[in-house]
Parts: sequence; structure tokens; C-alpha cells
Amino acid sequence: MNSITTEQSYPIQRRWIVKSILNFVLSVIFLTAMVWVSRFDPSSDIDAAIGLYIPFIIIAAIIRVLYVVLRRATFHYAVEEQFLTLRQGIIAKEQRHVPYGVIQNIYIKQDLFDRLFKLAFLTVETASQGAGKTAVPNKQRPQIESVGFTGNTLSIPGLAKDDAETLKVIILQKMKDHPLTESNSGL
Amino acid sequence: MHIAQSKTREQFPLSYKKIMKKTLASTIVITFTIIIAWILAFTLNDSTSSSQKEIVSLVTYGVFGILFLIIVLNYLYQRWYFAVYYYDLTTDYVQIKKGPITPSEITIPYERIQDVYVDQDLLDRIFGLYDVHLSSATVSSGIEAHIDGVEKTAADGLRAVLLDQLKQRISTTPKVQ
Repeated sequence: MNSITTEQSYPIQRRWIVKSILNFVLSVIFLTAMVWVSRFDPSSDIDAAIGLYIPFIIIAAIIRVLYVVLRRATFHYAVEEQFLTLRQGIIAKEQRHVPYGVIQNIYIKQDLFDRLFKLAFLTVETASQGAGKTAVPNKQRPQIESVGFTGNTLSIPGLAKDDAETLKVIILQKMKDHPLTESNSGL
Repeated sequence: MHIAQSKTREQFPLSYKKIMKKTLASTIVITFTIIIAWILAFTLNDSTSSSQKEIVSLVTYGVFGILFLIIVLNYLYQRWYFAVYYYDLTTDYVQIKKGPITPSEITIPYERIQDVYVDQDLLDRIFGLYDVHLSSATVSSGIEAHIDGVEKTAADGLRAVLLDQLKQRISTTPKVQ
């Protein structure tokens, strides 16, 4: 099996864009509704408030769509012979090569919207804290809806459920074939 | 109830007491919250008119009705959670999958396991249950990778199998020169 698996074979699905926008819009609406209810003033002009509020959501959603589309287009991964290689970045470009021997665990998660859209979210974790300006301690669960890598997590969201399972098996096989041996460097 | 069986779960089964324990734990939390809210509502309400008193008693019944409903729904959810809880110690890695609505699955190779520990909280002591945790070097594995709600024999068995796997792998790792 010498062929290199890339995002060509197991792509981030187009419907993931719809899912992230839906997620974003719903959370914005929910948050603003909470604020609005908590500061409800019957004498205020509701029509004017809505007139301001709807364009605001539309503009925010458009920016979000642009970001998500670009992010998806500029994210590449390749399961190569010795390394898991990832490239990302819309303006500032980043590349990362992870030897299979240092992968700590593989995590697959589906949230509620993932279930609806039949998507899954694959996260590969190492024990490194990352390098460069992304080297910030990542104390959160790997559930943030982000593409690519920060700290010790490498995330590939929006995979079709079966693709995520297949990719997991491929990476596990690579980890088995390339264990950490006869090395003092930790690599 | 169709249970997500694996060889490991057949050998070291989850205890059915786990369902009761989980239901009880969340019931206690929910009951306390509701009782506190109810007391607050009573003390803040200084009205004396009978119509408002009627409303208060109506609300009280409503609150206890909702509490009962939450407990029943919670019990059903815990049964479901118990049924889909999947764990398997395969030849190369540990796989744990849980969550009926938003499933999450973690896979850790034996080589990456940093520690194995078994613990009990207060309710676990009452029910005689144990949680077997194993973690790799990542934070999320510490949160996600545990098999909770097994009885003593199963906990000891799981721990023995895990430690045995680790021991085999430690002995095959070449010595640092």
C-alpha cells in the first residue's frame, strides 16, 4: 500500500459548510435572544431593534461563510509513508509533519448537527504542545469546531462517518507499522 | 435492551447497578436545584392574597411533576447510555465508545498508555462499583478514556489485562544507551 491517502480520497464534505453556518447562526440567535430577554423593556421599539439585528446577523454569517469556505479549501492532509503531513492557513501558512510513532490517541466525535448531516470529526493527538505561535496550552476537549491543528490536536472535521472510520483504520495501521523503536530522541 | 457487546465487555461486564447509580446521582443534583429554587420562590413571595397562594400551590405541583418526569426520562437515558457503552481491549489498542446521542470514540495504543488507575466516588462505594481509568499523554484522553461502573472482579480483571499488555510492551522496548 504505497499510495498516499490525502483529502482527495476522504474530503471534508461540502455539507460541513452548511453545518458550521447553521451552528454559528443558531448560537448567535440564541445568545442575542438571551441578552434581549434579560434586558426586556416593553417601551423599547422592537421593530427598530429587529431592523438593526437582522442585517447584523446576515453580515456576520457572510463573513463566517467566507472564512469556513476558505479554511476548507486551504486545508490539506496527507497520510504519507513516514509522516502525517498537514498544511493549513488562509493568509499565514502553516505546515506540520507528525511521525506516526508519536500519535497518542485518535478521537472520533459526532455532535448533534454531525448526526443530522451524517458527519464525523476526527482528532489525532500528540504529546507535543505544538510549535511557533500556535504553541499555547490546549486545555480544552478536542470539540472546538475548527479545522486543522493547534497545540497537540490535529482536527479534521466534516468527514463522512464512514470516511472517518476508514481514515482511523489507516492511521492506526500506520502507527502499528512505524512504532517508536531504537531511538533516544523521542521521535 | 440491545447491548453493544465486545469480547472485553462479555468478559468484564458493566454492572447493571451503574444505571441506578447514574440515575440517583443526577436525581440528587436536580432535586437539590429545584428545592432551592422552590424555597427561594416561596421566601421572595410575600403576598397574602388567596389567588396568588393558589398560583403558588399550582406551581409547586407543576415543579414536582416536572421533577418526576425528569427522573423517568433520565432513567431511560441512562439505560440507553448503558446499552451503547462499548469498550474493547484489542491486540493493539484500547477502544472506548460512548454516548447514544452524540457518540465519541477514543482509540489508544497500549504503548501510549501513561497510567492505569482505579477509583471510586461516594456513590460508587455505596453501590460497590469501580471506575477504571487509563490515559495517554493528552488531556482529552484523561477526560474520555475510562470504563466506569464495573464490579470489583471486572475492575481487577481489566486492570490486570491492561498492566499485562503494558508489561509486555515495556520489556520489548530497547534500552536507552
